[in-house]
Amino acid sequence: MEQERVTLIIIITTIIVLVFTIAMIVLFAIFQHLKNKLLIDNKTLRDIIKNKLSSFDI
Amino acid sequence: MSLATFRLFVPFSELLAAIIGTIYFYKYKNSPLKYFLYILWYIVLTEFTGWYAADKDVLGFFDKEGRHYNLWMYNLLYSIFYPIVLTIYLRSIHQLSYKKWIKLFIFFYIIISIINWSFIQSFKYEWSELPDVIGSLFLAISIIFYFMELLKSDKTFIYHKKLLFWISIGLLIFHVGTIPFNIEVTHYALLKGIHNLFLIIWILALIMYLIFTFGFIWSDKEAIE
Repeated sequence: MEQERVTLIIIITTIIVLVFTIAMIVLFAIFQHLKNKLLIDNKTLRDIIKNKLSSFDI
Repeated sequence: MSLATFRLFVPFSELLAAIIGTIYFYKYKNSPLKYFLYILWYIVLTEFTGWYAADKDVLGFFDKEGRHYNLWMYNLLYSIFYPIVLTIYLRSIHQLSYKKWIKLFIFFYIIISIINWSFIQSFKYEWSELPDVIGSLFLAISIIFYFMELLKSDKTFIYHKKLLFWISIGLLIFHVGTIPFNIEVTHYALLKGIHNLFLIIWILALIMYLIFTFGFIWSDKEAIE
């Protein structure tokens, strides 16, 4: 009886912590991907502005 | 497949990770991750020695009922493992506030281990409970610091080509996943039929070592520090 209770508690808590851990890893991957995309887009935008400004100078 | 057969996969997955890590050592030999390979080989050594000791009833201690214990090997391993892995994160992270916290984690882990093995648990006959749970929590927080630093960085990089990213994933899944198991393990480890529960540890260990192996192969060469 005690063995069944202990087994059940440990299995349930392990599943809960694993779900949270995997969710955190997935969120990290999504945010990192979005950040990289934004940084690349910003760089492109900066390059466009720089080019435009230099053409105005001319 | 029996539990005993499944158990055999774990030491061989450790060995595989250590061999692959050695083959790809050139990728990270100039980074703090080189210490990770040393600790990986130490884990393999402990696992195979512990296996031999349990099989032959040698290199261990006997209790009053004549049961053989080789737990001192694993307790020694974990006493060394956490400070070394935390040091890898300490040297890989650059933000000063995170570094301070990791230094505190290493200090407290060592103090807690000394107090635990001196006054609370027996190093020879009991599985490390408190140091293991505390070490896992400190490690998880250090990994979160590492992830936060990567997210805050204004550099663009491919995170899944970084070896420390894969090592962090493996460590998180195993060490956070086994916290519920490690709480009070000494008290229920001798319950009849409870050994099926060890399957959780073995599955998570297998996943962790396979993730390390994949990380060694998939990652790019680390930049020289």
